[in-house]
Amino acid sequence: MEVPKKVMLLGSGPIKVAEAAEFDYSGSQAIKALKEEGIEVVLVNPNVATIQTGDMADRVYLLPLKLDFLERVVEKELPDAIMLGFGGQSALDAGINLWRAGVLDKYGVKVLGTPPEAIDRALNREKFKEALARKGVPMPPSRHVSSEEEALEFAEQAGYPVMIRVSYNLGGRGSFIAYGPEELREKFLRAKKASSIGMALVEKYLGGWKEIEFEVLRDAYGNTVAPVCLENADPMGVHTGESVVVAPCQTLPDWEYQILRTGSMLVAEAVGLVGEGNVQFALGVGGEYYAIEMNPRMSRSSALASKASGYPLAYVAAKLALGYKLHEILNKVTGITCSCFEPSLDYIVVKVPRWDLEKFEGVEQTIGTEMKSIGEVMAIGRNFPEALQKALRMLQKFEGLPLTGDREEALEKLRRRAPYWPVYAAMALASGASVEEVSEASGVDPWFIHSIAEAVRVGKSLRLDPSSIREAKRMGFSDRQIAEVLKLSEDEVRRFRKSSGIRPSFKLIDTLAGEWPSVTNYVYATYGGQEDDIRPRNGVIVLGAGVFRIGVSVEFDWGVVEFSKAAMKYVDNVTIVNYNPETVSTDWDVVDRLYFEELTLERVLDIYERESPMGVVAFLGGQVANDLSKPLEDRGVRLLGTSGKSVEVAENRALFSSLLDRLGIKQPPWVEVRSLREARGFVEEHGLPVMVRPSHVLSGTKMSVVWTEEELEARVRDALTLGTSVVISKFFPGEEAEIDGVGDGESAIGVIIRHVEPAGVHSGDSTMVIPGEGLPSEAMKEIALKLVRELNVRGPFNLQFVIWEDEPYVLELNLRASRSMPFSSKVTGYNLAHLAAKVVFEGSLGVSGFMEPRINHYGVKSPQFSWSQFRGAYPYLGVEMRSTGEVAALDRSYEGALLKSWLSASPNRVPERGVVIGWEGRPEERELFEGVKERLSELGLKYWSVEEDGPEECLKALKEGRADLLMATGYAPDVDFKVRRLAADMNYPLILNAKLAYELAKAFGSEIEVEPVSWYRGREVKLSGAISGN
Amino acid sequence: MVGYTEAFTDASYKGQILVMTNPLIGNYGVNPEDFESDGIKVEGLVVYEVTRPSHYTSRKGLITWFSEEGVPILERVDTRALVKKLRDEGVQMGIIWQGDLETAYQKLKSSPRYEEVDYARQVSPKGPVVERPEVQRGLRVAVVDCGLKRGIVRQLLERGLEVIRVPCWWRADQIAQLEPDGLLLGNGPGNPELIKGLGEEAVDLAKDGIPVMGICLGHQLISLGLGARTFKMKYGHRGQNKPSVDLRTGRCYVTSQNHGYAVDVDSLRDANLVAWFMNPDDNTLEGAYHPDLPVATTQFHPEADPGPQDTSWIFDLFVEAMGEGVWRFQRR
Repeated sequence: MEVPKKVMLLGSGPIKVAEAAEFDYSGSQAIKALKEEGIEVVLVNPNVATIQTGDMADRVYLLPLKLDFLERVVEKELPDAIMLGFGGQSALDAGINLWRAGVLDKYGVKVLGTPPEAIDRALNREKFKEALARKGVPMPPSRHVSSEEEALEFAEQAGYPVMIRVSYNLGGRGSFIAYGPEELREKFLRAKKASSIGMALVEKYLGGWKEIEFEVLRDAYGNTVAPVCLENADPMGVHTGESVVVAPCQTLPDWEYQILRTGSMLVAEAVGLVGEGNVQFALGVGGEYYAIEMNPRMSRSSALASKASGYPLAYVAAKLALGYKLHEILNKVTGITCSCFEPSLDYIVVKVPRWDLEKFEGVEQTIGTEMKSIGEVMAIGRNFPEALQKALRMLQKFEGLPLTGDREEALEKLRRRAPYWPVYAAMALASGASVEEVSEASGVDPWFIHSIAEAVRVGKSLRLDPSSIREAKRMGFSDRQIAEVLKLSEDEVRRFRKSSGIRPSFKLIDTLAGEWPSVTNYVYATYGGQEDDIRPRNGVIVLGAGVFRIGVSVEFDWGVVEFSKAAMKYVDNVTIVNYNPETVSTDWDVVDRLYFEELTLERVLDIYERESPMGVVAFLGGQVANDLSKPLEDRGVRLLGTSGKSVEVAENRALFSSLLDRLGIKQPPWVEVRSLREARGFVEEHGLPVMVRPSHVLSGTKMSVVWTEEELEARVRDALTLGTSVVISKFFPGEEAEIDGVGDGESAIGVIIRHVEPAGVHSGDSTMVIPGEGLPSEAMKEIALKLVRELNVRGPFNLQFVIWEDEPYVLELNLRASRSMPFSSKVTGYNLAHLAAKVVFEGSLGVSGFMEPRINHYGVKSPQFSWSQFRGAYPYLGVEMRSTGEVAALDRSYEGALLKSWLSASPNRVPERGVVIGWEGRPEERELFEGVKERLSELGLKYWSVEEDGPEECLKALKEGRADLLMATGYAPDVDFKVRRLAADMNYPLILNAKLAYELAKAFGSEIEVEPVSWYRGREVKLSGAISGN
Repeated sequence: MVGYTEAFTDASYKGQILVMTNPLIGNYGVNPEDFESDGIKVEGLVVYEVTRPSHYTSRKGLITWFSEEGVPILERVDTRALVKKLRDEGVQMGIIWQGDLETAYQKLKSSPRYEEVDYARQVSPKGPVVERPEVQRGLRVAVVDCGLKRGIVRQLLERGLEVIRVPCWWRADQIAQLEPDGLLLGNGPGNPELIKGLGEEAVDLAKDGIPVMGICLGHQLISLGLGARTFKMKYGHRGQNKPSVDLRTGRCYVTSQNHGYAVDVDSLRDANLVAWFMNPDDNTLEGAYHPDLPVATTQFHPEADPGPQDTSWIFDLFVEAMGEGVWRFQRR
C-alpha cells in the first residue's frame, strides 16, 4: 500500500438547503484520518464557519470550488492525490470537472477512493442503470431525455404520474412529479435548467412505496459491509432529506431486509465504489424493489447513519480510500473490534427535518421530492414515541406531540403533505381519527401511527400518580407537557417526579448493543432503563447550538468545538450536550463525553444532577443555549462565563435601554406599544421611517422597516397577532457595523466589522468586511469597553451598531458567541473561542483596555441564499434573515476579497452575457444603480431594466439566456416579482441590494489572489490597544 | 435487529430464555414462512417492549403467538442492563415467574440444569425424514438433525439436493446405509458433551470418502472428533454482524453467529486441521478444513436466516464437493 505524501481535499462550500455541516463532519474526519498517517493535507473550502477550515489541515484555501480556482491551487500545491468524497455533491462535481478538464492528469494527481469513472457511473443515470442491470439490480422504468417531446412520449408509454429528475442534482433540485402532460410541459424547462449537463430523466413514479436506505462501505479489494439501514417513515415521493427517518429499520422482516442489504452491496460493486456510499431503494410488496439512486460519497444520510449507529463512516471511508482493507481498521468506538462489521443498535433513532418555510413569502407549504428543510435533529430513545417526542422538542418548535386538535383539519394537512406530519397525526388521533385513517392520509406505515396513538392515549389519561407519570415519561413526555395537562408548573412536576424516584437512565451508544465492553463516550437518556452506563465526571458541560435553522448554523458549532478543544487544555473532562447529527460537535472524538440530548431546561438539569460538573457553559450554543442561562442559574446551576443575570439585562429591551441611558450611550429612540394609537404617537414625535417588531423575536421574525403611515398600520396589526406588545424604534438608514469580541470584565479583545448593505438588511444576510474602515471605531470601542465592564462580560460578545451622522448608535448586544465569530477569528488569526476559554479558566485575557488585531489584508464574508429551492418565494433582503449559510475570502485588495467571497456562494458567477435590473429603490439607491450601469457598460455587458424596459423584455432576456444575472434592491414585488422569481428558478445569481451591486460591479474583473489563509496570517497580525478606558 | 421469528423458532435456543437487545420486538408480526422449525423453541422471552404488528405478511401478533404456544414473555425489562450482566458473568440459569421471589428461587434451584438436559434428542426427529427439492440434481445429502435450522435445509433444497434428516443418535453405519453423497452436521441446542460422539461418526464417514460439512455446533463436534479442543469464550458471538476473514482469499465477510464456545486454534495441528476463517476481532477460529479428508466446517451460519447471505456460496462449495467426492481444499 503506497501512502501519498500530500493530499488535496475538497470541502462542500457554503451551507445551503441539502448541503450543511454534515460535510464539516465528514471533511474533518477525513483530515484526522489522513493526519494520522503523516500525510500533508491541503483543504479548499470557502466555508469560513466550519471547523475544518481552522487549524486541522496543513493549508486552507478559502476559495470558490470552481475549476479555475481549483486548477490554480493544484498548480501551486502539486498534491500527489485528491479526495472528492467528503464535501458533498459540490466537491464531487468540482472534482469531476477537474478530472474532465484534464487538470488531474496534467499534474499527475491521483484520485483516492472511488475513481472518477465510478463516480460518473453512479451519477449518470444511464450508465448507472446499465451497471446495475449487469448485476441484476432492478431500477424503475425510466428514460433519459433531452427534450420535452421525448419526455411526453415516455410518460405516455409508462403512464402518469411520472417523476422528472435531473442528472447531477443536489437535494432533488429540479425534480418533480407530473400527473399529466400539461404539468409535465410546464415544469420541464426548469428541471432541465438545474442540470449541469442539461438532461433530465423521466421515470415511473413510486409514490406510496417504502423508502429504505443503506450505507455501504467497500474497500479496494471488494470487501463490503452495509453498516446501517435507515427507514424513511415518509413514503416514496418525499425526499429523504424531508422525511422522518428511523434507524434501525423497523418494519422490515429479515427476508426483505436481506434482499435490500444484498442489493446495496451489489450496487456498490456494480459502480466500483471504494469508500462510502449511500444507496436508496423503493420497496413494494412481495419482495419487489427498485434501486433509486446512489451517492458515491459521504452524504447527509451517511452523517446521520454514523451518528445513529456510532459507526465512524467518514473516518473509515478515508482509510479505505488510502487503500486499507475493512478488517485492518480498528473500530474506534469500541477500541477493540474491527471495522468489518455492522453495528447492533439497542435503541431507536428518529430524525426529523426542520423547515423554516414561514420565512419565505409565498413559498409552497408542502413537502415533496425537492428538499426545502434547512436543518435536522436526531433523537434517541428506547421506543418510537420517546425518541419522536424528544425530536419534536429538539426542533425548537414543539413541546412534543399535541393532545388536542381538529380531526378534519389535521387529516387534510396530512393529505397535503404539510411539514411535521407526526404533529398532525397526533392531532388527528387525539380528536378521534383511527390509525388506519391517519396512515391512509399520510402514507406512513401503520406501525409508526400505532406508536403515536399509544403515546396520545397515555398523554390523555395522565394522572398525578407515580405509575401514570412513569408511563408518560417512558413515552417521551416532558415535564412541561405533563405540567400542562395536570395544570401544574414544570418545577412542581419535576419535584413530584424526583420524589417518586422517576429519573432517566443514561445509556451508551456502543455499536455492539452491550455485547462487548467498549470505550465509547456517546450518551443518551431514557426512561426505559433501570441502571446507568456511566459515572459522573465532574468536568465542564458545554451546551451546543441544537438544530440548524435560518440564523443558526455551523458557525455556532465552530464555537462549541473550538471552545471545547481549548477547554480540554485546562480541565480533565469536557462534555458537550447537542443533538444535531450534522455537526462536528456530535462526533465521537471531539470531547470526553457527548450527551446526544435535548437542550431543554429539564434535560440539562438531569445531566447536571447526574454529572455534578464544575459548571455549565451556555454562551456558545447561540440563542437556544443562551436562553437557558437565566433559568439554569435560578435553579442553582453554576454558569461559567458571563452571569445569567447579565445575559438577561442584555436580552431585555427595557433593562438594556435604561442601562445605555445610564452609561450615556446612544441608541435609536424606541417605545413598546400595545396599540396602533400609541404607535402613531411615537411616529409623530420621531418621524418615519421606523422599525416594527414583536417584543420577543428570533432572527427578525415579523420585523419590518416602515416608510409610510399606511404600512405602519398594517405592520403593527400584523405584529400584534404574535403577542400583546410591539416595539417601535426609530430607523436610521445608515451604515451598519459590529464588534465581535471577548471580555474579561475589565478589558476586551475585539474585531470591528463593516457591513456593505446599509441598515435594514439583517446582519446574517449582510456582506461583512474586516477591517472596518471608515467607521467611528474609537467611539465604538469605547462603548464596547463600557458595557464589558458594566455587565462584567466574561466571555464572547457581539455588539451591533448603526452609524448615523458619523455617530455609533447601539442596536443590540448579545452576550454569547455570534454568527460571525469564526469569520472574525479566521480573518485576524485571533481565535475568539479560545480567548473565551482563557477568560473562563484563567480569569483574564491578559491585556488592558480594548485591543484590536490589526491586519494588512481584507476579509469579506458573503451570505449563501437558497432562493431556487424556495419555490414561489419573493427573493429580497430585509430585516428578517433568509440566508442559509456563508462563505468568506481573504485578499490583499478589498475588491479581490469581495469578488472571491461572492463567487464562493452558489450560484454566483461573473455575468458573461447581460444583466437584468429589477427595482432600483429609493433615490440614493438609484444613484448607485447609475454607477452600476456605467460599470456594466465599461465591462461590455448589456443590461435590461424592469423600470425602463418593462418586465416582459427582462423576462425574455432571462429566458433566452441573454442575461445571466439579476440585480435589484429593496422590496417591490409589484414591480419585479416575476423577474426575480424567474431568475431564481433559472438558478441565476441574484444581487439584491443596491450598495452591494455597486461594490460588486466595481469588483467584477479584479485580479484575484490564490493564497492559503496561513499566508495572510504570516504577514503579521498585531494587537493594537487604542482605547484603554477611562 | 430483524429476524426475531427466525430466532424464536431456532431449535438451538431450546432450553434457553432469550434476551433481546433490540428494544422493540414484534413490529412486523409473525409469518410462519419465516419459521426455522415447527414453532417457538425458546423457553421464554425477555424484551423491553412488544409492539403492535404491521406487515402484509403478518398472520398474528407476537403476544397471540406466544400465548398460543404457552411461552412466557417478560416485558419492560432493561435488557441492556441484563445483557451486560450476562456478558460479564456468563450465561446463567434463569426463571420467569409471577409470584414471590423465594418460590421462584426454589423452583429455579430444583429445575434440571441446562447442561444436564439432552435437548438435541428432544428436538431431533424420531426417524429419517426425506425432503425432495423442486428440481432434482441427483445428489443426496444426509443431515444430522439435532435441532437443525430450516434455513440450512432450504439452502440445500434450493441447490437441488435430496435432503434426508436423520436423528442425532444415529451412527455412521446407519447413515451410510442411506448412501448419501454428503453429510452435513449442523446447529443444535444443549451441552455438546452429551452428543460428542456425533463428530467421530462424521469423521468415520469422511474417511469412507463422503464429503462432510459442519456448521456451528457441527463445526465444533467435527473438530473435536478429529482431536481439536474447544474452550469457552470470554465474550460469545451472538448476532448477525460478526466479521469473518477467509484466510485463503483475504476477503472479509459479515456473518450470522450464535456460539459461546470456540475451537482452539492452537489445537488445530493436533487434529490435522487447517484454519479457513478467522474472526479479526478476537482472533478466534470461524472455520476449518482438513487437507486430506473431505471435511470443511464453519463456526458461523452461512445460511444466515436471520442475517446476511454473504457466505451462502459455501453451500455451493459443498455441492461441488459432493459431485467431485472431495472438497476443493483437498485437491492439490
